[in-house]
Amino acid sequence: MRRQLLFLSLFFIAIQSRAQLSVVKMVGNDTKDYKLGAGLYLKAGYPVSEGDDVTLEAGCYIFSLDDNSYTFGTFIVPAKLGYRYTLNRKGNGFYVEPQVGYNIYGLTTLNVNGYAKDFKFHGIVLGASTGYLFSLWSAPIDLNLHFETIVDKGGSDNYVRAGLVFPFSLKKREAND
Amino acid sequence: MKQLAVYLLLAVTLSSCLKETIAGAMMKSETGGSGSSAISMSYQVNGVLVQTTVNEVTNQLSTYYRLSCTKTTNYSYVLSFVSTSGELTFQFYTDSLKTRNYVYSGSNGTEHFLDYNNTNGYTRYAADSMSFNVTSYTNSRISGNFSGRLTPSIGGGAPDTYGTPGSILITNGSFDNVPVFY
Repeated sequence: MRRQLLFLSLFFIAIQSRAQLSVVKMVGNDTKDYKLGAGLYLKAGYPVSEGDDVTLEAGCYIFSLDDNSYTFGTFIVPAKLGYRYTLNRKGNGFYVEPQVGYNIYGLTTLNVNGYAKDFKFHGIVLGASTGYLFSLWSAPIDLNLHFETIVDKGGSDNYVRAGLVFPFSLKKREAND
Repeated sequence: MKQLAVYLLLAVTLSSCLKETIAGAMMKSETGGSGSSAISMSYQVNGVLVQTTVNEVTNQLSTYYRLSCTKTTNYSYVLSFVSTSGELTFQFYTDSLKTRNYVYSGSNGTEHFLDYNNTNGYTRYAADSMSFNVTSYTNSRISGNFSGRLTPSIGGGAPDTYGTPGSILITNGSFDNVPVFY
C-alpha cells in the first residue's frame, strides 16, 4: 500500500512538472514472471555542440511480479547523466545516447517461504538509448528505445523501455548559419 | 568522446550478462551460497521427458511453488511438481516424513496423481500404483526417485470413464533439493 501511495504521489508531481511516462519490461535471467512495468521520468538536455547534448534524467519505475497486485515486485529510482549524439550532427534525427548514473533507491519484494521479504539496494546504473528526434507541428518529439542495467551486490536488474516523449532543453540550440 | 560512448555501451552489455537479479544474488549471499542451489525434478511419461529446474527465486510465485513439499495436516504432506506440461502430485500419509519408500496403490482407492497435457492419471485399479522413495531429508530439503503406473481418465469433470488400465507409465522419476514447508 505504501508503495502505491508513493507512486501516486510521484505521478502527481510528474504531471505537474510535465514528466514523461513510459512502458518498461524487466529482462534477463529470472525475470520471466515480471509483468510489464510503468515508469515516469524527468529528462532535460543541454546542448554542448551543434549535434550533441548532455542529458540529465531522473525517474522511477515499478514492476509487478506475477499477479499485478504489486505485493511482490521491484521499485527503482535511477538518476543518470548522458551524452546524446545525433548521427546527422544537427541536433535532430537518429541518435545514440550512453548514460551512467546511480540508483538512488531500489526495493524488490519476493515471496520467501510464504512471507514477503524486502531486498533493498542501490547500485551503479548504465544505460544506452537509440532514438529519433523530430518535430510535429512545432512540438519536439523523441521516439526512443532504451536499455538499462543496475548493478549491485553481485547481481543486476535489467530492463528495456520504449518511449514517445516531449523532450525539453535547458538551453536553446544555436542556429546554424 | 565517441570512444567513451562505445566503452559505456560495451559495459552495459557485459554488466547485463551477470547471472542473477540483485535480489537473487542477495538471497544467495544470505543463505551462504545455498540459496540459489538448483531445485529440480524430472520423469518420463510413456518415454517422454518432463522436467523442471528452478532456483530459490524462480521457484517462488505469489500463490504457489513450482516444486515443493508442504505439510498440509498433522498426518500428510503433499508433494507438488509443476511443469510446462502439467502437474504431478503425491501425498505422503505420515505425521513425520522420513527417508523411506512410500507407495500408494489402486487397492487403497482411486486417487489423482498426474495432469499431463490435459490427460489425468489415476490409481483406478489394483494394479495401478505410485512409488516415491525419499533418499535424503536434510535442512528441510528432500531428494529421491519415483515411478508409477496410472490409468487415464476420459472426458472432463468428475471422471467416471477410464481408458486402458495402467497405460500411463511414469519412469525414471527423480527430484532433488525440493523444499519442505510446514
